[in-house]
Amino acid sequence: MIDDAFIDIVPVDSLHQRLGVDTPLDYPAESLRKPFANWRMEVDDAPILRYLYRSVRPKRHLEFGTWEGTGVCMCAEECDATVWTINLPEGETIGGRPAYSSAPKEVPSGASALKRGGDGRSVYQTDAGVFIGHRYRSAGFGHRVCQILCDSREWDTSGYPSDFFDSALIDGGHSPDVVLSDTQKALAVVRPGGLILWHDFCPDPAVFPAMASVTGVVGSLTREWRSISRSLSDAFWIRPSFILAAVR
Amino acid sequence: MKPIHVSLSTPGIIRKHAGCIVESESPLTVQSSPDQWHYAVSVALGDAIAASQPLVFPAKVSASVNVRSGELGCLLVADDFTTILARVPPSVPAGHHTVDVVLETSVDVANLVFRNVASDNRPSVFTVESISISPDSGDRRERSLDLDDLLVGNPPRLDVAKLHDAVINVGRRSSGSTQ
Repeated sequence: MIDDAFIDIVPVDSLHQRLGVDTPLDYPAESLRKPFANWRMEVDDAPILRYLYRSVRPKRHLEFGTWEGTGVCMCAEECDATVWTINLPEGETIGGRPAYSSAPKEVPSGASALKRGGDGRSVYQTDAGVFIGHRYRSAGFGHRVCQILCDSREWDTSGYPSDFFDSALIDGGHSPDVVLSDTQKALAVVRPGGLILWHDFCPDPAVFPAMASVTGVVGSLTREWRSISRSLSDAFWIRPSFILAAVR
Repeated sequence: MKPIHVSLSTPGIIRKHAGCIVESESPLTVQSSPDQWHYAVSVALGDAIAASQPLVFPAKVSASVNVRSGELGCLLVADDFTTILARVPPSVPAGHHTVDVVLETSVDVANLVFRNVASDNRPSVFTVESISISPDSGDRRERSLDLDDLLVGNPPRLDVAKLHDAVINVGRRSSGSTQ
């Protein structure tokens, strides 16, 4: 059990020591200098996530929040895991409007545009329909993925043994109730010694006003940390990153 | 001290960053690059800060903006355009807003950056109607928290209770920051 009043901080250059592996992470110097206000998961957190998958080498990995499938690709490219990944089939909406819509450079076959944007490009809801996971499918990882389409709060874990998964990434809905639900479900199915990761965990108050996803994750986890930490043998924020890592 | 109004027609005060389109210079109307976080335009505030001396800190830089589409963010940076000088305020969606950025400590130079915040590959289109600098008289305020305020011990660890309070309090403070 860990001290529930504090969360350790592990610098990226000593992450290997905390994980007990020999090879340190070769982290980009540019990201070390970058303010959190300019942080981008695919640029600044991706090297850390890839390193974790490469070092821990899960056989069965669970992911909350598929979106276009970038996270699955990172895991599948770095280890031999089969990935279970969950996404709302119709995507997330806020106030009845799609939470994630854009004019992407890469459009999967069969996608229907929501509308045409002011700049003439077609706008799509990128976390719904054929967009869900299209990147892992086009990368050839479809045979290693179990795609679950549901509201993660309604995902039934009772059919999974409590030690089924070796690792989990929680990066789905960022409202506090969803974060807590996904956390509880991950704790129920990740084996002792397995790795649990939360994305959008950044404790720098400078980013709070501008990033609701961060306040949702940090607020939910810190509110419930006393009970969550009882199920963990280690937990630490990787600095600098938007990643909280824990060992079940 | 009265607010100092920054004249956007001062030669050289506005810097256009890569990928943005200036639709008009008066009023300053800009279409940003579609890339998230990319700077669109910035306004050099050094002369205005010098003209405001003795400027009392904390000082408030207020930008009145009309966002036609997309989502706009503002931040104060140093001349290297990387060092952030003040807490980044919440981004603003379409509509009229006054965005306040509070400089806690004295600086000689600062650039107010307007940038695209949306993550959906769409540009933001906005008009900068006015910018002013004034002492931050806010009735609020304790000093803004830094990450260091949430750390304890050596090696440092995050204090969970302080971190939770910081999230809750920032949520309270940020409400009502736009109009």
